[in-house]
Amino acid sequence: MFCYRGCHAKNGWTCSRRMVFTGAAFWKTKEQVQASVIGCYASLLGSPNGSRSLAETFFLWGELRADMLASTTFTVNEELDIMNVNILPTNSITNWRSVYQAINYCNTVIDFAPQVLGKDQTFTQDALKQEHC
Amino acid sequence: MCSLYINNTKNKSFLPQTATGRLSTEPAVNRAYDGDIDVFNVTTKTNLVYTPRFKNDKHSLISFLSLNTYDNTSTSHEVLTSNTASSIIQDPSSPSRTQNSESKLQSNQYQTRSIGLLLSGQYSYLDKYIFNAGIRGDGNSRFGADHRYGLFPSVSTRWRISGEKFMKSFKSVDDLSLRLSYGQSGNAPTKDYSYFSIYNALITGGPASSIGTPFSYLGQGGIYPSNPELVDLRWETITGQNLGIDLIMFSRRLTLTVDFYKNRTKDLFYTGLQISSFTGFNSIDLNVGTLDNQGFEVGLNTIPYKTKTWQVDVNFNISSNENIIREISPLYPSSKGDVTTNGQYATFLKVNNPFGAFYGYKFKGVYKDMASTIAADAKGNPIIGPDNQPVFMKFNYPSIGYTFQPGDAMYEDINHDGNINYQDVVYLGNSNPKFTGGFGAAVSYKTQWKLTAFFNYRFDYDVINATKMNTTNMYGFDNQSTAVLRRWRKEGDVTDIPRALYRSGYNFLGSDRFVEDASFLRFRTLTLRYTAAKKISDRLKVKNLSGYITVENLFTWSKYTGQNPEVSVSGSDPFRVATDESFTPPSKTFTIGLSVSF
Repeated sequence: MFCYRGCHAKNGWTCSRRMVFTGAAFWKTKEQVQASVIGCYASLLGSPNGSRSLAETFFLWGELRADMLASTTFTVNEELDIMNVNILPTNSITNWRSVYQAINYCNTVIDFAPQVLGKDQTFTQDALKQEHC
Repeated sequence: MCSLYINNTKNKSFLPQTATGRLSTEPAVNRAYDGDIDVFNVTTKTNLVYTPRFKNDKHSLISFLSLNTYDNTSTSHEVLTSNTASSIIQDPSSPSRTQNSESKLQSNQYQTRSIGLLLSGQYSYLDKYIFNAGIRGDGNSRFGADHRYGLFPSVSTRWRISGEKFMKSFKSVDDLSLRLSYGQSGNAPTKDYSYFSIYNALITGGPASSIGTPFSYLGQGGIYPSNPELVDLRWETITGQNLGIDLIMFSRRLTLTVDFYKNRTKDLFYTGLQISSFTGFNSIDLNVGTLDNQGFEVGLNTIPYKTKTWQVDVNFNISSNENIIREISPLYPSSKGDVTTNGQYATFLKVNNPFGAFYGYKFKGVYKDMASTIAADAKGNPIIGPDNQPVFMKFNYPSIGYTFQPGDAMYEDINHDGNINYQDVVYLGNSNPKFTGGFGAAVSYKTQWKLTAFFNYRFDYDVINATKMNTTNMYGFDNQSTAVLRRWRKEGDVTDIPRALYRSGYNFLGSDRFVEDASFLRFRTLTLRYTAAKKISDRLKVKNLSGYITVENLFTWSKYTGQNPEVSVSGSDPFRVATDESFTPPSKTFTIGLSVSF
């Protein structure tokens, strides 16, 4: 279970406002496990919320800074800033969000997929191992 | 009472290629849609009122029980495809393309339920002590199991002091009452099912390209957890407190109402609060803190002069209101506005400080020549660098490090370090008015003639004149005001308008140059009405005859240079600042009317 506590006890903020990622009504069949694993892989190619895809991000992180890309009229300011070694946290290319998003999807599968073993008789230990690797 | 509402919508549409003539591969060509949306809504309201008659008529009681239920179910099923084989094949179920950003095959089902039970009673003794208490229980399906139900009590009392024996000696007092109230109410979130972790399947996603990358791998669609499970989302509770005094004196010639109020919103909702990236989610909806909305209102009505033929009425009201954050989640942003970007003002969220204050640079004019751009220390002596050369004023050194040139806008170097940056940002104003209100008078003569006038005002209100900024910045090709004709052009020019720089420079940073006091007094309405006397209307065989002339927005007294000082603040975030974009000002209206009834 992945818990997130967005609070500080010292300023009187009740510490019970948590977010728990469970899927009580989900995680029942092997098809759900498989679809979730596909979701993990898909998140490496594209982002579900429309932000820059992980594949593109990785490409930009390596190639922009290595002078492997030339500027054209379509180059946006943020890309130019990285090329000119002017990297600020406000630049959206420096955002790690989609990496953590993929990690979160994987963690969710790792946490909940084993539960399905008992619920779906056609889901075997071998199948689970296959999904995990 | 029960109401049933059923809404069935069925849409079928087709956009043939022959209508648009577009390329046959485009998603808009031969696009077929079929959709079905059904909404079922049942609301009930059951009231039970019990008003017992007491033998002793000093007591009176009104009690009230109310039960409200609400159930809303909506189901939808939609399909949209493109590029069917011909313009005659118009059904989306026929072979067609489904993989583009517009196409969809989706179904949704939502259900919202709420229940409310209110019990309240009002007891009064001799109409002197009035006591009202109520309790409301609310349940809403949008909350998780732990916080689904809320209990909201309310109490209010009224003490008619003028009914007491010791007040008998004050003959001129008709009524004097003290009102006290305390009440709670709750708000539910606007989204359904936020306490579930929802796994979404997505057909398209990825970067905002025209086609979009399918959220899939090896030809199989993937699903992903789309939201954090908000099991602890609570009711947003508003606690209202009110203290009021009513005074009526001199045979109703003077009426005074004073109210002090404080509305405290606890567990304030905030949707889409950005959270740390390591959670894997972008944003969540949260109960973020406590917000106070407080102020006072005073209303006064008097009849200073009254004879058989003449009557003069004078009324006046004044109010003040402010919003203050008392407690806030550390995830909540604490500031807005980038002071290194042209046109932006900084606003900060400070606990226990009212909303509305904004910050920026102090504008000192325009650098007239090269010598004036030399940085000076606190004593006014030029700063000399280690190379014995004078240091010139810089902007946001080292990350921008722009050297000010003659003709650039001059900002006050508050800390005398030769660098204009966030450390030189000072308080510029507050767009929360100190007082607002209105006053008016009415003069009537023999019930036939009546002249009424009403004024409204706002006092101590700072506005950012964005129109002035946009028409004097000389930054693009937009039309500019004639003020730019006196801009700086050559060394030695002394003026208040910087040089023209196309898409560069820092000549219109958020500074007091564009901040103005928009206090005003406006002559809102003036009406002269004549009602014909009975004998005239009888002679004309009509029941009533009257005519009037009304003039609206006759005149506005203000030092504000924009076209309308009555600028309202848009939005609801704590960083909002009154910005004048010169929307159409209120028009001066003349109305002449005649009304006859038979």
